[in-house]
Amino acid sequence: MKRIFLATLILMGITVFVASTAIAAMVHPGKTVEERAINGAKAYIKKHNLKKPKQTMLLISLFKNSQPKYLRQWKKLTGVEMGSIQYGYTDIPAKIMAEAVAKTGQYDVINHFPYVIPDAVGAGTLQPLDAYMAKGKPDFTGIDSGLLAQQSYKGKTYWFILDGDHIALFLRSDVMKAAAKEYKAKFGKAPGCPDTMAEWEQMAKFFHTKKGQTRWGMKFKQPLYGAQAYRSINFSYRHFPAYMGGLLFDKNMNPLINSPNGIRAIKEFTSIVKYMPPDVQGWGTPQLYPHWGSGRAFSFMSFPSAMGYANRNPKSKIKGHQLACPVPAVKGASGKMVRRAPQAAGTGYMVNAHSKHPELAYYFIQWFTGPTQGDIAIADPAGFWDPMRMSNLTNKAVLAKHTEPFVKMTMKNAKNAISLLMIEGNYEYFNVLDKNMAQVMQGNISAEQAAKNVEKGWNRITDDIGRKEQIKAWRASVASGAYIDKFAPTN
Amino acid sequence: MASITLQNLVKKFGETVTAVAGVDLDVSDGEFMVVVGPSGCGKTTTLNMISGFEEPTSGTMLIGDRVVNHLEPGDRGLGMVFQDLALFPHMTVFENIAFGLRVDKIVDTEVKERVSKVATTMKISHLLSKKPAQCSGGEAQRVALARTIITQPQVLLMDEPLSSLDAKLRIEMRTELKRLHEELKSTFVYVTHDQAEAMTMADRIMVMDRGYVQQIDTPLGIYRKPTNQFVGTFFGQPTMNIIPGRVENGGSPKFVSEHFEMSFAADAIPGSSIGKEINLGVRSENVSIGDEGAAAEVRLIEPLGDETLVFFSCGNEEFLVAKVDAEREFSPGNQIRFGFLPGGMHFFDVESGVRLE
Amino acid sequence: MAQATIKERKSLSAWLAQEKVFRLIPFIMVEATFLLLLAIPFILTIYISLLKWRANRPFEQAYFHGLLNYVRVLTTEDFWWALGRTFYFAGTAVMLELLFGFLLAMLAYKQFRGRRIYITIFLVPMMVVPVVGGYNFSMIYIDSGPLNQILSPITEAMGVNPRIRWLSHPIAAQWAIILADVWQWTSLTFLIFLSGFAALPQQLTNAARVLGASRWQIFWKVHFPLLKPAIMIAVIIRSMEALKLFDLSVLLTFGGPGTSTETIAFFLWRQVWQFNKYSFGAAASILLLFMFGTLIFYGIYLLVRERDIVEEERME
Repeated sequence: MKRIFLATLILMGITVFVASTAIAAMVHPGKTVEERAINGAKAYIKKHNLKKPKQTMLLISLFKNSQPKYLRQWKKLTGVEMGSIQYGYTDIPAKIMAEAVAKTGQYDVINHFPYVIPDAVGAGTLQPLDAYMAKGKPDFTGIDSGLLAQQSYKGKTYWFILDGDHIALFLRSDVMKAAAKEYKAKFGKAPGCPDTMAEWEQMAKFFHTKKGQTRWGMKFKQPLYGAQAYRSINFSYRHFPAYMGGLLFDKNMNPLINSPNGIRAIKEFTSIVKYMPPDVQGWGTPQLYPHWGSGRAFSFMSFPSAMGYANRNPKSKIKGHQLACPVPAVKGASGKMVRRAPQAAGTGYMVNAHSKHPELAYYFIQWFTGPTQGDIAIADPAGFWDPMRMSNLTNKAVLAKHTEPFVKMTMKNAKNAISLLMIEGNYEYFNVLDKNMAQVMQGNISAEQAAKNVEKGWNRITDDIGRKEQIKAWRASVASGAYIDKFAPTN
Repeated sequence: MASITLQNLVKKFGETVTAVAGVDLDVSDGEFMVVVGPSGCGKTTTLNMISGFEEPTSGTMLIGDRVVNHLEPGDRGLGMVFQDLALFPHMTVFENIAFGLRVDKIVDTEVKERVSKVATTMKISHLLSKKPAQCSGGEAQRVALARTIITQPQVLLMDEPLSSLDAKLRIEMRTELKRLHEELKSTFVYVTHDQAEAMTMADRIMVMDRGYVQQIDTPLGIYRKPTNQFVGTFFGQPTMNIIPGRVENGGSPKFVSEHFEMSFAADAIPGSSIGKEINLGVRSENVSIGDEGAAAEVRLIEPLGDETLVFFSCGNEEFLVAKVDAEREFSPGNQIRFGFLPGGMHFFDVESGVRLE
Repeated sequence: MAQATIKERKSLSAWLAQEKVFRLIPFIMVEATFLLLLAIPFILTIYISLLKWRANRPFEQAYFHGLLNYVRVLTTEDFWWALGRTFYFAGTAVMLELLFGFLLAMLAYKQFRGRRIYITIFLVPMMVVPVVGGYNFSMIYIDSGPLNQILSPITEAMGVNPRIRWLSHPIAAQWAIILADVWQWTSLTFLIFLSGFAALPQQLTNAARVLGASRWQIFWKVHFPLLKPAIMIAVIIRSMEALKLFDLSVLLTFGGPGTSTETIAFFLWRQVWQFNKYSFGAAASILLLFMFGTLIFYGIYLLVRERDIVEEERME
């Protein structure tokens, strides 16, 4: 009996040992994320006996000057030749959906924002990365939860982030300095980062200056608009969640916008427009950035890259005159003051499920977004990758590119970073919201009417796609912490 | 009612092209004047100057006693019928006829009355509600006439109006136009290239060639006494025989051509032709075939029914033609003798073509 | 074996050479082209329009949906707005194009010095690639750009802010698109009318002149009615194109500001390529095909009627 017991113990011991070595063997060797990725790629090539492997990346054209050198580097490291096909970011979702039908596998890596994930997963174009992650062991420490949650959808990982592209607020420090006395006399505090959206609007009103006026010893040859921000179709939805200060739906996918909080959000979102340039509803980045750089606005709520743009662009008139602020707070659905910084774009990387070698494509992603390699990209002067890891706070190259105050601010802001809507059909939900915001800003309908319209429109989309499945996806993404907020207990 | 006077009317296109080289013409009130000539002779340009579509380079035009050189076509008191009729395709026959009244803003009741009156005259009352495209050639012709005469113009200009009709209808319409002229008693200026039309309809004919007036005379005057070889050959069917040769006077005058000789009585030959190279013109009805005269061989027969055309030659390939009674029978190969009737010979100068008297 | 092939080939060529077969060959080609190019995509579109299919689900999961997509389209407010907007753009633009094209043709059809050069210049806009034209206009319309500079004496005299926000003011943006379309396509109406004027028989003008009609009367009573076929052609050709207005609203305003320049083509593009609603898009395009088809056929009917009348007359 004892013998049998001992023998069993020994056998079990052997089994455990064998098993553990087997598990250990499944993880590719390497001390760092990047090394494991390189070794993983090499092992894959060897195992499948690939000769001169070639892969292709579907690339946002914005990165055409910064991405290719890393692709060449990847070839040197692994022998994989990674080409790229470039499209404007508005065109890429359609390319992904076309791939769902055509199944060509002509792209291996896809570069885009996280909001394409739900539809692309629904259509079966994206490869779940979890099995490869088990072998490559990527490391996401130092990335805040709201950003990190965007990597997964319905419990599986599809996307690796390399961009802390949550919105921020920038103010003109030179103007504030000049007006400090007068401002303090009026409001009892020195001008600085506003705590709330209401305070931002109050500042916009105060600093809004007509052409030809002389104020605070400054002569304004051009008008100084109190504020500028994204208020056009295709952009409003990226900013609105900052005003909502809570979830857009309850746990049964009933819209929460037609509520006192939703209506308040619409009103705040639209009322500040009166201090913005009259064209703002027709403006995207190509108009807003140069306008900001020309010094004709006091404040700008934007993608974080606006600050770097205005500091480095040779034509900029506001170099060194910007104060970076986290997104101001609103009195959200819970009744508490909350700050929410929507990840307004945020570039990242996915693997095409129809790729011939999805695992090989995965290793590129792991390598490129890894803690060391990723920070090199974030520090790249030609790139549009924004800080997102705690390590960026001490990385000299990153600080040199983005400036220390900005990196500090954006890392603070990242604690409040939230995802945009991560459910199927999200572009259609966004469009309904955008259209109604436009109607309110044009004075055609009231905020209350807009809230009703959006509620109706959203319900219609939910029913069209399938309420049951939408509820499942929505609950999963809320649970993942992508929006920070959770369902109210009464729901 | 009005006369037309053209005084040394010239039309040049650019520097080099002279379409009309000085026309003098008096058309008296109520006259039917036909202007005839081959294409490019200047007849249409002359008409266009009278109508006002072309401005003369120099010269004067009068209608009645009014100089009309600078008047708009509509102010000259004219009516005009065009070669292709120029009916307005988008209007009914009624509206086509009424057009001249409509532009004068004449009241509707009067328009109706006058249109129906003129339609009755022209026998087209049944067509009034149709479009021009639905009318036959003859009907369209009447519509065009009706449209022209409804404004009671003093002068009617016609630019080959019958050219688009088939042969039978054309001959019928000739009579019709003559009748219309009798009824209206207005002045007609009628342009055509068809000598038969000119002969049958005109009071007087003006013949033009290369911009110059060749002859102005009555139809018979022109037929019998053409002023030159061109006029002589232009009129008459079949074309006048032209025989180049010489007039010699060895006792009695003698005409000598390459292939035959013929003697005549002294008074049959104009004195000025004696001893000269001339072209002898003889119309077919003035060629006699009988026992006397020069010898020839019949080459071709063209029976016309009441008469027969006999083509013969004197050993060469230039055929002469004679018109003979249909009863007389000939066949190719017959040896004949021919002569010319004394009053039917025209002597033309070889160089200028001018008639020798 | 080889012999057999030769024999077969011979009999095939013999069969093809038969008169009754040979005669059919062109028809077979025409029919095949028709099937491949038109019928198959059309039937596929109808088929898709009857499915429930969003591209965010694999096609294998699509299921039969009856006419529900059509109901959805017809009850979508934005569809009707976009359609109305499209008719507004097309109607206004085509009307202006007809007017300007007509006036230009009226000026250019008579002989004068340099006529050919003018005509060539007038035709240039039509030759410009629409994308390039749209891009040029996006430059021209900048609020401190050339157009506002040129207009400033007028706008200032009228007391209007000379910096007209062509692309970002909802109403100005609509006119920006209409004007760009007018600029590009007046050339075409000009060309159509020019040939229309050239084909006017001189004799009809003369006939009217002799009957005492003034220039004005000649124009309205004779020329204008005779130009009707040309006008109809211009209306139909331009309307067909204008109803598909897409590139200008993409290039100049991307449908904005708000939705003020979202045309029906743009609406469809967005439904299909942004929202992945393939079967909805298919249903909408079938509905539009019928709507526009009816309009165009009615237009062609009018055109043919006009032409018959004129052509019968010409045959005389």
